[in-house]
Amino acid sequence: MSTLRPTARTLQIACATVAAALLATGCGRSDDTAAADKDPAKISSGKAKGKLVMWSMGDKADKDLQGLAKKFEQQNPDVTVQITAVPWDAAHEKLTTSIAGGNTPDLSLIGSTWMAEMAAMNGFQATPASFKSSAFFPGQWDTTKYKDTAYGVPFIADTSVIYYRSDITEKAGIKGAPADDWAGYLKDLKAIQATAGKQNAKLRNATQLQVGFNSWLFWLPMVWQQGGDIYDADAKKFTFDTPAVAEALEYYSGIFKDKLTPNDKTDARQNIQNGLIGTVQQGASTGGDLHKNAPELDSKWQTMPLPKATQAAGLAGGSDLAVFKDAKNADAAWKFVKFLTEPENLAAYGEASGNLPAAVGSWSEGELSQNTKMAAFETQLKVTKAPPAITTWQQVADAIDSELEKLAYGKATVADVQKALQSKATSIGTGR
Amino acid sequence: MTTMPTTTLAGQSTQEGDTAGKRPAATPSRRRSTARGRQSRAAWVLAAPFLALFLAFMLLPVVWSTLMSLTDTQSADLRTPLNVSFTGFDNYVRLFQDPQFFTALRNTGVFVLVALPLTLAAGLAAAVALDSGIRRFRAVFRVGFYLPVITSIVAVAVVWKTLLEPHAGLVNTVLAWFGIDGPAWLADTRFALPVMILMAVWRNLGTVMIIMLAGLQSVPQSLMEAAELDGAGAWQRFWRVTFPLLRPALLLTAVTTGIGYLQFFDEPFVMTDGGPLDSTLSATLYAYKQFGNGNYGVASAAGYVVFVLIIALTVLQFRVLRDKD
Repeated sequence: MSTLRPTARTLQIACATVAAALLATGCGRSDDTAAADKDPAKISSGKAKGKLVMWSMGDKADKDLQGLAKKFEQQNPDVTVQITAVPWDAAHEKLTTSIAGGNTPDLSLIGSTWMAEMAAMNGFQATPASFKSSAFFPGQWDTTKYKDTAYGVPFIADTSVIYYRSDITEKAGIKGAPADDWAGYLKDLKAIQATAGKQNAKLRNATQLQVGFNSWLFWLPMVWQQGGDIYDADAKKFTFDTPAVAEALEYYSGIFKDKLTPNDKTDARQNIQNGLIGTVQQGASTGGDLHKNAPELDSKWQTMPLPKATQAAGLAGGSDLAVFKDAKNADAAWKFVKFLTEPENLAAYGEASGNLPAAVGSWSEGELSQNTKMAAFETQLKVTKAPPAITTWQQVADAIDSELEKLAYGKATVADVQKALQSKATSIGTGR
Repeated sequence: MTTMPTTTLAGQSTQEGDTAGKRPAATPSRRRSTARGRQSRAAWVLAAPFLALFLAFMLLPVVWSTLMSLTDTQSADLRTPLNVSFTGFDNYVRLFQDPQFFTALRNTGVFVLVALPLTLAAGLAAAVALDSGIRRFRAVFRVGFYLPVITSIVAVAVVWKTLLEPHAGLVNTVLAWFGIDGPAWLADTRFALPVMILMAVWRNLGTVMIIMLAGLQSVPQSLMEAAELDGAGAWQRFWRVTFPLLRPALLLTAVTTGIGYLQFFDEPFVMTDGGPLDSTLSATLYAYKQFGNGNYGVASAAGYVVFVLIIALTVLQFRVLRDKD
């Protein structure tokens, strides 16, 4: 807060310079300079050679990746892999500036919701044809796509499932998991809520939905579960004005209206651990943290897929591996991607790091196939979908967040929100 | 700040010019000019590192963001800048058609209009109290009031957030002892902004206090005695003698604190992300979010709106508080 803004004098100079610059360049748009290269990259046969630089996000994941890199180096004696850790907070900016400056490493882990934006910047090579989409969960594969071309390979899958405290649900008279359909699940939530402060002395709310930032992650699958969508890729139109969206909004706001969830923005992970809430929708890392922070609760929580309406659906998140357009050693980079995404290697990585493998085959390998708490994730991953692959997605997602917040606080009706979303999204557009 | 080195340069060369003029006319003019040339070249060499950094990290970004505010730049255009079109003042028009930006401006305005006078008044009161009353513990209080200023704002925000936590936070725990069911402070539209105003006042009054204290201690004792002899009471002595003498200190703190407050960002960024329901969204946080969404043009335009507001507030403060003599 202490940095001074530019002085009036520098502004004057700046204005003059800008005027001159604009006159000089004429500043107009030339056509088709940004058309991304759609031809798939080619991989040579034989072993990988040379120096390979990869960026990876997350400090622990990075250490587990080193192990795989060593193995790759043993199989390909002429290659050296250098993995640079980049914190998630700084990753988006670092990636966009490095792509803009043409100063990228060979490959990197890319957050799945960034793929469209960075592919549109013409940052990545199109995925070689030797990678088969059928080897990966369909929703995860779709996160690599921009304008019908894949620009990466799914690596870490991420989706959220329902965690429930069986000690709390049992006291509400629920045998086994809560119901797996919207109507039954709502009924169970109401039953759990009725025990708050009584049978369940510490319990405050039956569940906790995200309010504000990133609440779209939790709401969008509800639209898909209704068999609808918010964007029609063929017509390039937003479809927030459809009945499926209205249903999803009703369902979301109903949970707040019935006070089944708090809107106080407290930490849901902490709340489920402390028994303040009975169920919560979260990703895989929540399970890992629960096990680490409160091992005594291990027998008291379970997971189940998200409840369905007319169909089952979930959101595909996670990260993909992408090779940059300006990669110096693209051939070796693609070979490393191939190596990393082989079911066996990916399973080993997932086991060590606690991440979910995006390759279908990994789930029948080793520990993963036996972990009952992970079974819900596998079921969910089979029905996940990717959010619309448009460069303006983050803006649309922000608009969804702020409209959902109005529902959570009871400041708008479902009809208001639906109308606002359609007009906001349409005015944001889908990018150039 | 930015013009300092150039002034030094100019000063040097005029001095040089003066001495050169006083030299005997016999000195060959050619030698004179080469000596001068050599000296001014040395000056440029010495100034070059600063000038290079200034050009690269101050002037260029300013020019760049001005340009961006007049175009439809998005993050996807970073690699292919030729795709950008000049759109004139479209971004500014878009900005003023966005109700969210008005909410952001209003929040920033409320924050400045409430927090700035409160900070100045609290800082002045603390300085007067320290100067007159609690002499024995002055050092302790001075440190106590100043400590929040030197603590990182992010650390302060995180600590306050923990204190205000609805279920487990200290504030609501204490309230519960008295049977009061405290609100979810930062998730409540009625309390989120006032809490941040309170926090800003608590945090910044130390700066005002230190500067005012220096001002108070430089008030000549003879003036006070003279006023006392003339029959002025304590209150009159303060308003008629002390306060006018503090005017420069007040102007300094009002301008610097005001500029800081108009850039209100860290608190909502760390504590609420602008929520709930945009009740703590500030103009700079709005700009930041637009940058994050790849809307570079609109974000730059928002930055310039804040810049103009800062100029306006500063000019206003100079008008009101400038020494009349």
